[in-house]
Amino acid sequence: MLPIRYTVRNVMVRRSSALLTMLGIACTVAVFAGVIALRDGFASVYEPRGEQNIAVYLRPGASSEGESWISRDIVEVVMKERPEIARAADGRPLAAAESFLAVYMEAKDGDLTNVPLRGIQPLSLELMGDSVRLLDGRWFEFGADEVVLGKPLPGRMKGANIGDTITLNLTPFKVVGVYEHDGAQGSEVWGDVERMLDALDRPGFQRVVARMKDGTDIEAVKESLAADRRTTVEMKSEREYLEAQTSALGGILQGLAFFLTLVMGSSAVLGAVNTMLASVASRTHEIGVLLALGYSRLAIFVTFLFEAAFIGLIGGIAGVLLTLPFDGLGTGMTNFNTFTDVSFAFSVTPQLVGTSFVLAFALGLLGGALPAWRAARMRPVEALRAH
Amino acid sequence: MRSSRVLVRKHLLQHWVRSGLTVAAITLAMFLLCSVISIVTTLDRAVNSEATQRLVVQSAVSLFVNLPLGYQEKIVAVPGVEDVTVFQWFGGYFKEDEQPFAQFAVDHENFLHMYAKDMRVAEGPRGVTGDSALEAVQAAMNADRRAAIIGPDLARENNWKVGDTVPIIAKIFTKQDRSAWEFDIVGIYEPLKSNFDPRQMFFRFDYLRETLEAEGMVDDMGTGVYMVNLEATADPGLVSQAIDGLFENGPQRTKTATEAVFQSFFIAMLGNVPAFMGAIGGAIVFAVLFSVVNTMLMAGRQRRGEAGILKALGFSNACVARLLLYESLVLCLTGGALGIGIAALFEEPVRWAVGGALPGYTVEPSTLLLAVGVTLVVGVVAGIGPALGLGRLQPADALRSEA
Amino acid sequence: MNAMIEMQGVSKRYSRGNETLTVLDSLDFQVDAGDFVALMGPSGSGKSTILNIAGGLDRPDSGRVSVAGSDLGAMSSSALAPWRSVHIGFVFQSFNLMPVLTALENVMLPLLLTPLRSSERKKQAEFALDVVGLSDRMTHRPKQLSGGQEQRVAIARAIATDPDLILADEPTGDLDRESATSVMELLQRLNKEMGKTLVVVTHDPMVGELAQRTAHLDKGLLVDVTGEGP
Repeated sequence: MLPIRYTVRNVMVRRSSALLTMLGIACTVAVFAGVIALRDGFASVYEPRGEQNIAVYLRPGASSEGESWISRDIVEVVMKERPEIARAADGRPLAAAESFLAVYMEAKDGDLTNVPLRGIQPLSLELMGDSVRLLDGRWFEFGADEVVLGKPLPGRMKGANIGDTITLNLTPFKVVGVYEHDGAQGSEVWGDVERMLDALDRPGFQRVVARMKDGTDIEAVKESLAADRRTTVEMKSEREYLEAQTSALGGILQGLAFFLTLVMGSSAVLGAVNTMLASVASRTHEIGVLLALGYSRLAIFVTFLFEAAFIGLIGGIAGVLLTLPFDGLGTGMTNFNTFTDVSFAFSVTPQLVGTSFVLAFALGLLGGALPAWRAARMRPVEALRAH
Repeated sequence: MRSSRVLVRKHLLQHWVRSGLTVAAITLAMFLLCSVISIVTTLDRAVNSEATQRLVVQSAVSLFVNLPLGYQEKIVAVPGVEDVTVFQWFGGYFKEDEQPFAQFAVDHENFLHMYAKDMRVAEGPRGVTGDSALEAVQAAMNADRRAAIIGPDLARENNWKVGDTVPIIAKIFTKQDRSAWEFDIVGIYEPLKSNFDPRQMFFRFDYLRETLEAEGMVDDMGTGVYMVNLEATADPGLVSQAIDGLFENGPQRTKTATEAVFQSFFIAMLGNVPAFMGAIGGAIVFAVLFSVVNTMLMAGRQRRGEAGILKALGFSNACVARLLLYESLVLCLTGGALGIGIAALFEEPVRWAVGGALPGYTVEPSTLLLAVGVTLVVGVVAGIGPALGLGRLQPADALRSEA
Repeated sequence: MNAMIEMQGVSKRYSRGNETLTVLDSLDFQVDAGDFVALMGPSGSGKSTILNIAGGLDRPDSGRVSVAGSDLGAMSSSALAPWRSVHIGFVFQSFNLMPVLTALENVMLPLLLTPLRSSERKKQAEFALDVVGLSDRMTHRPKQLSGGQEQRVAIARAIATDPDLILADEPTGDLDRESATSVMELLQRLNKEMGKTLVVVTHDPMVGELAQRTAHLDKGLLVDVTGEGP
């Protein structure tokens, strides 16, 4: 095998050409990594954490809270009668009925935005446990026309600071606090569910959340609910529910990343083929010498392939470096499953960095394959005659 | 400059592998650039669509809060209003894994008339086409409670024809027995405006309402929005104020806006998407620029000896430099023309592929023009460096490098 | 004495368009072990082709070739590569050093194909450079060396694996008189002191004088052999 420094030095000799090829690959990798970082950041908001034994009940067929509607009667039946719901020492079910509505708020840039408005019950907070914290002000009083806001909202929306008033239809609600939630419900407006239903004149709830007893067989619960004609709800574990919420936007971003990487990658590979063909052509004579010295065709093939992959890898590193400054950069997008605005940050995960390197390496290999094959196929006598 | 044309062509053909690869790289990049710009312009077009004489009345609180049906009479009575229809999002699907499409429940008596400027009825029952199709479809809508009219793309994708009965599964308006809703297709429309989604389905609001009431699922049915057509002379701003004024004290406050503003809200929901697309477009341009610069540097190195000979023969420095610049421009314009051509020719397949994710994907002529400009700039920028290098070369040095 | 190179009835033709060019015409040619043979003749007489066939870089259209005890006709081209690395050392007119590698690295290049440990490779390469008198130029790149020095590095590369046979194609063609003399003296020393069999293709009468035998070729035929024959 030829020494690595032979490859590295040859790349250095043709550095302007190699550098331009690297930059082309870097652009491709940066676009891929950027779009996937967006998708990962968005998905991380919905990444379920903490306990997995939380059940979410929705109207059958509804894929998100926005589409769901559960009447008060059914809420009561579910809470009282469902056997999988855990109970406190005093016998009350560990369950909460919540309302959900995407309401209009004006963003600081003047655009109208859909913000999730959630009416909750005291047990809602209990079920969330440690994942929710009060950052500023105080919690709203149950029974009062008060709300608390998720951490990103005061910065992104107009009139969303403690002391401001948010009017829901005709009823003014006072902002009294700011909370932080490690999960999907971090950028919402929360208030007493009864006050919200009253203000919005909506007679039904959107979902019931509950803690399940230890060892509950989720599939069995689903079957029993499907057979139950009286309790017209469907149940999902919180994990299943949250995973389903990223399908639309996550799918679009993934499709976009695939399409862009395919076309840009092909373009970058063509550039790499050009560079490597020139490299092979200018070293035809050298290839003849290597063959005369007793190097096998395979060794020559691998040497040129490695040179291309090396260029690709350096390009990949440059591409990832271009993306890294975006890591943690906050942005917002509309989740098309719930039609609401979600705040999240670009997330350049170690896994994404790894995938980007593999992509860059593969682009280099693809670009090097044909030229390396051409180099390996040379006839020694003719190669030696070339100048 | 006949000699230079010959030289440029000879060089490009002599290094046909490199020329071909470079042209292919430019083709791909320009196709992609046109696609990315088209995503943004397609999104933008809804905002910039011509001011329509149509208002959208919705709840001031949320898109998902319904307005009482009783509002319709009061809105019709507002001076300047010509006609009003309910417009209720159905939110169902035909097959779960397919691109979603929009279904709306509307007032069947006046909907076709109200949307006569947006769409044209292309086909009615029993193969009726042309001018009589509208009447035939109207009659069918009046006669059949389950009647629905669909867009051409939807018909093609699912192979639906007039006369078919299609099942749509509801996610919001789930029936008690969870069965699918059935609709009878009585007509296929053709959009008259490029931003009118060709993948929609419109059906009778009373079918929706009566079914839900029979199922005991709603107490007081409402509608998501009202679409309001204005008289030609009416001032949209004043009429909007008048309508919102009617419901200032509830039971549901309203927010009335022109259709263009209403649609622009959906664009605003896309947030930073245009900025992301801009960044991606920039990356594409830079990537292809690097590729072409690389090619032209290689060409420049090989051309040193020839440049010396030409100069020795008496060609001017500028003339020698121009040769390389022409070469760069020929490569870029060939690749650019191919890429831009593909983007224009593949508009239809791409629109079909993105489907509901981006309704009405259109490649604007201005986008193609912009891509031509970018191609020219790339060609000049990539060629200028190596060209000047050759121009400045001393003939003696140039000839020596031939050895 | 046993034969190092044995060619019997070797023919080689190249077709250029419709024309067929006969480079070698049923040539019989033998070089004994320890011999120093100069191959001379006008351009296109087939000198280099003999060298390439003997080194396993090219194959004859017909005839039998046996080099260092191996029947080359019976070996596949993938078997020829490792065979070359063991038995043959090439020296070229234009030196053919890798411009990106130092003198020592260039000499180590053929040693990388051997199972030696890296410390042994280095020792052997240093020894070869010592033989050609360039111990003090080991870390220089080809560009930093004179033509004569470059050719001596190339010779060190040719002897690094201690092959039986050194094939040199116009080794002095690109050199001035003084450098040419020192390179030829070096090659002669390798023949006399280390017992390497040496075949040199040359136009240079001085080289012919140094050789034990001179073979003159014309139009693919051996026309004259001088010196102490077999």
